Amino acid sequence: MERRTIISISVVAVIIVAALGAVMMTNNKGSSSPDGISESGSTTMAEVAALWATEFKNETGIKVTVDTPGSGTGITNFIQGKADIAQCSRAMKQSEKDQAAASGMTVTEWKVAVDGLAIITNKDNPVTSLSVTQLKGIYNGTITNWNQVGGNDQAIVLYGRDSASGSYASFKDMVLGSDNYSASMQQFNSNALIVPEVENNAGGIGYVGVGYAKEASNQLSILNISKDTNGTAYSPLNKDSVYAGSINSSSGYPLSRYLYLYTNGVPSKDSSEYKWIEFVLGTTGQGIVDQAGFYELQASDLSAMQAQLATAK
Amino acid sequence: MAVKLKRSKKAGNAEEGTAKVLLFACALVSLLTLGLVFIFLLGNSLPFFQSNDLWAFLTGKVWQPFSDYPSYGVLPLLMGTILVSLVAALIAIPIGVGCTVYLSEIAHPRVKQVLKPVIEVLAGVPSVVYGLFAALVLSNWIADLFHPLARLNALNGALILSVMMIPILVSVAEEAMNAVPGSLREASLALGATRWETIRRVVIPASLPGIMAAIVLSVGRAVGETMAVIMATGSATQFTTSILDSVRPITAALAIDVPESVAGSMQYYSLFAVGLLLFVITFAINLIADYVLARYKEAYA
Repeated sequence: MERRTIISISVVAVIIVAALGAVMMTNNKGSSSPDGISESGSTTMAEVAALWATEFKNETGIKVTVDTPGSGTGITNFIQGKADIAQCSRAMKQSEKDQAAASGMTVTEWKVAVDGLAIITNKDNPVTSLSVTQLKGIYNGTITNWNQVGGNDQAIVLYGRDSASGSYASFKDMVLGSDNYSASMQQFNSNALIVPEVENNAGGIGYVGVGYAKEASNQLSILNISKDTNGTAYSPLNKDSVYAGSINSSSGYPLSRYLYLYTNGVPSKDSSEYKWIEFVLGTTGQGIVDQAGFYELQASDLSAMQAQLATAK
Repeated sequence: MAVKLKRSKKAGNAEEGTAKVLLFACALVSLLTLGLVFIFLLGNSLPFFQSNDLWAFLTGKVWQPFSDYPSYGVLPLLMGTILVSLVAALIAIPIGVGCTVYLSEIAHPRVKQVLKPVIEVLAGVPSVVYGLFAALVLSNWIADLFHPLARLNALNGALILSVMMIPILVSVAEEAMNAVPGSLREASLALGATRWETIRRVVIPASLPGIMAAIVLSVGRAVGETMAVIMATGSATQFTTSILDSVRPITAALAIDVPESVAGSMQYYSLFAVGLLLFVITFAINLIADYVLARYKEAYA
């Protein structure tokens, strides 16, 4: 065979294979099996979601698969259709809602639990409470030693989440505002990894969902947080202060936040997603929230969510 | 009696031709893949370079692509990669070459029979297992020895990377050293050289192209390693020259930030620019190795 023929046949063959590959890759299949639900997002909600899914499967036989790459990535998956529901430890940003609208989706927000973002420190650290201003100074890198906030002469070692995390974003919104996190903060992709780090580092400080802090409460110190420097400091372990508080209110635990689920519109009455939301907002679902160490929705929020569910067709 | 001695010319030609086509197609696939990856990286980085200063990108010390006032300085990531890979190479290359020399020249055949398969198994252990070991065990040993502020730091990453580099280095370099003809060794010994002189002056120079290839391959693995460094180095985005600080190498930054970035945003393009930088670095390492080899061949040809 002539050399030219060999080359041209080879090139054509390779191009055909490459084109087939490209076509196959751009065909995005649907996200879930006909009956099952795929849920993606927050690691803070990982334990709660896993317990919900197990109990839900026992009750209805519907399989819910939960993966936890972080709230931000979960929202991206939801918008791109790779997941049916997004679970988030922060509210969706306006830019994300616009993106979803551009893809033809209606974003419906469901509050499903209440969390008090717990600030954890090493058990031997004598500091027991901080104000939000001090916390901001610690996490933006201006306060570098524990003796600046009434502790020992010990360098502060920062632990936090990475940028895909809802906790990263909600902590930043609540505490740092427009400041950046200090570049020396070590970033982890789940709550569970922060806990052993702080347990083993005398100067460590980290933020995790209250459920994770409660689990490790014997090996850690959970700080009380006050809104202003001389104000009353509240603990995230106290349910009433978490209910009463938010970063804008003057009493209660300042770092309280909701945990959310997002669906594409209110699910229709015969769909699996409807049954899932109904389960999550029901007595069993909210009981599981409590079991996992978080706080169930207050009566007013619960009735608002039930009312939203009632608008399903 | 007629005996068929040859196939007809036509059939032989077709077989030959088909074989050539298939093999050339295989070679073409690798060439095309490299070219297309480069074009893909370049294409997606251009929007970033059009609206951001290249110099600020290359020398900026703040990497905060997701903040309200984003900053795209790649120096912290570059420093992370350098700290982790350079130290790993400094540890792994002497140990690896030493191990190769021992295996190839000095070890008793029965020792070699055991050692070689063990090293090859080590080369096949998944990176995430190494990462787990580094995060849970190695970091505690380092913490006990050096008392760093950060338990997960660059030294942790460098040590686990050197452990990952050594098996590859030894496997490839050992093949090269074995390929040195025995007659060369015998000639050297016959001329009165000791075994160590033979190794140092004859075997190693003769197998140097193979050793260089082994080094480049293992450094390539170190620079490109993602899973183990994410778990081992603590992912802080600070610019630091201290080996006991937490760092974020380029590969870890890509793995952490890409899932969060929205396709088409400036963060997305900036990550491609960082990926392009990694590609260029790997390319440069290969070019340097080739250059060194060419100069060496000149000197010894």
